[in-house]
Amino acid sequence: MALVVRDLGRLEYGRALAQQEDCLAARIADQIPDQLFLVEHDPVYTLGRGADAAELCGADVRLGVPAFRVSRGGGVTFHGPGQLVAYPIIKLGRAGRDVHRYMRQLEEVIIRTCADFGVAAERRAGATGVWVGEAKIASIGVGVRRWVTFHGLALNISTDLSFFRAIVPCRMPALEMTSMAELVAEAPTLPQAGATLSTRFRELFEGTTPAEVAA
Amino acid sequence: MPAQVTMPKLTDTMEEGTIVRWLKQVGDRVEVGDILAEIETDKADMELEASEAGVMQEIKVNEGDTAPVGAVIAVIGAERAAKARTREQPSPVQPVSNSVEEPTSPPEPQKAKPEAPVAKVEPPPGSKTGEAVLNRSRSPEAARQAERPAAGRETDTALRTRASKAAAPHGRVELSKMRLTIAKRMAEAKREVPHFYVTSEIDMGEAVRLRESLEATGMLVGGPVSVTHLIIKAVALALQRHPRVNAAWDDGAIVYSEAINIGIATAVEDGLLVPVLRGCEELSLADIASAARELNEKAKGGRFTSDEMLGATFSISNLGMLDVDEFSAVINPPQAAILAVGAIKERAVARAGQLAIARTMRVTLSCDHRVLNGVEGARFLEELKRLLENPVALVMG
Repeated sequence: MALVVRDLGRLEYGRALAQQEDCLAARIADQIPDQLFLVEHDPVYTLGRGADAAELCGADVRLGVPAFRVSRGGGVTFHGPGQLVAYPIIKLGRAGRDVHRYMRQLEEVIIRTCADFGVAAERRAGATGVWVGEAKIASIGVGVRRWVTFHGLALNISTDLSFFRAIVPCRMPALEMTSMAELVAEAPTLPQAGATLSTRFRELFEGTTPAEVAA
Repeated sequence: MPAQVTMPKLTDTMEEGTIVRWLKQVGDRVEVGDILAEIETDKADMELEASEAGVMQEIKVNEGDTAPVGAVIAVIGAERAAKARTREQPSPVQPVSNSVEEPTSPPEPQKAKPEAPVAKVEPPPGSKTGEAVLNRSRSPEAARQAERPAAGRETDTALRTRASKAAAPHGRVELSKMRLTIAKRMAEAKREVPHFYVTSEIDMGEAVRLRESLEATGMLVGGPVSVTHLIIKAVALALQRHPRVNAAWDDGAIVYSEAINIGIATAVEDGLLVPVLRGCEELSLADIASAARELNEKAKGGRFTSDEMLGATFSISNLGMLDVDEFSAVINPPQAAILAVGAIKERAVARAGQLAIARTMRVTLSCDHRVLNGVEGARFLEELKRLLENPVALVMG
């Protein structure tokens, strides 16, 4: 079944989450095909189920930024303007019921997208996410319900990184985050990055080569 | 024969998983397909489904603990097990530190909203919203993080300003259906309805004292009676005595209603809703309080039925909680009037030639001049004032 890319534009976290939940239920019931949500959030901190709220360091209160605890893996992270967030709602088929492999695939999509904009990014063994040198450029936190994925990834294009410094991101106190804007002269716009990411996503998950994907 | 639940292998390379959350507790009934727990492995959070029905008998691995793939994490028995514990079923929770417009609440000084509800508040599985963040305890890493030298770190104020700027609306925003409808109706009301306005300052000392006495009786079942509830009851009584105000304009005719249905203007995230308290002529103060509370809850959850939105014969709009002295509201056609309520404030008043301090509230009645004339509006307001200044009448049935 073909993947549907849904660009939610700029949408507050809670409302995007409600849309995810609706789509997730519909995908589980096979009412709709696989979806890829692309969205840019207003500033928000999120925590995985197992995350330690102390790693927020009270930033939500001090900075007036809302915080949500949601059904995904991983620790505390920040979403905000200038960050490309993608939520693939896809059914892991019989052959693909391996959540770790799914996350490796997400990393690959991000790595290819970064390369398209001149950023040499890589994965790091034992640390899910995408890295440029010592700094992290993209985070991954996934939820799975009845073998359908939700939540997903966040790639810093021109994110305000100071919001990460206010917390303990991804359970790593010494973690430095980076963004495309820090690494290349001309960072892409969010729509540009989104278009590229969805092309790369289709490529990997649907097996289409770049030549076959429409512009 | 009890069934053992083992740590599933969610991936080829998985060797162990962490129980992040148990959704079933000892004693809970389990059906096939129910989600038993959320299991985290690496950065993925998986829901473990029950493959057998029964009753949860034993949980062997607690939340936050890790177990190897294949280890027994729980036991589900065929029938009765330990006594079931009751769990709280909360309503959908909104993010704690977001500033959300409060729906109508008593026009008394508002305390700052307390942070973070109790532990153990969990949305039911598959619920719509994420959960508010709990507890503010500091872990060692977090403490170390906080102690990093201030030099090179942004001040909280700067970040706070950027956060709120970023969350502010920007660019061209198309209106949602709700806002479009409100926009049309407001424009129509201002264009078509000849508004006039009558203002009154009401001494709320007795009303506030009455509210406090009612609370002290300890007899209030279901929740406290607020000053807003007193106002609604007073409006209902005043409308009964001045039925010309409980009317609607209908294209050259005036329709008088037996029923008194009061619309309560309520701010919601995306605009304004005016849910209706129906049949106020038959409701006691306690009834009104509980019905209003229910409407307020529904407003927060966006869960109104169309029944609850139609048929108002009069409306109340309250900005008292925002410290407003007074304001004039726009009538909701085809209603004849709307009451705008300001804050209760301590003001200097003159009594028998002497200066005194009283807690007063200013209300403004907007009237449709095709239906009402000045005297009728003024008499209604005078009645309202009399009832609120002698509020014991509000408690009688």
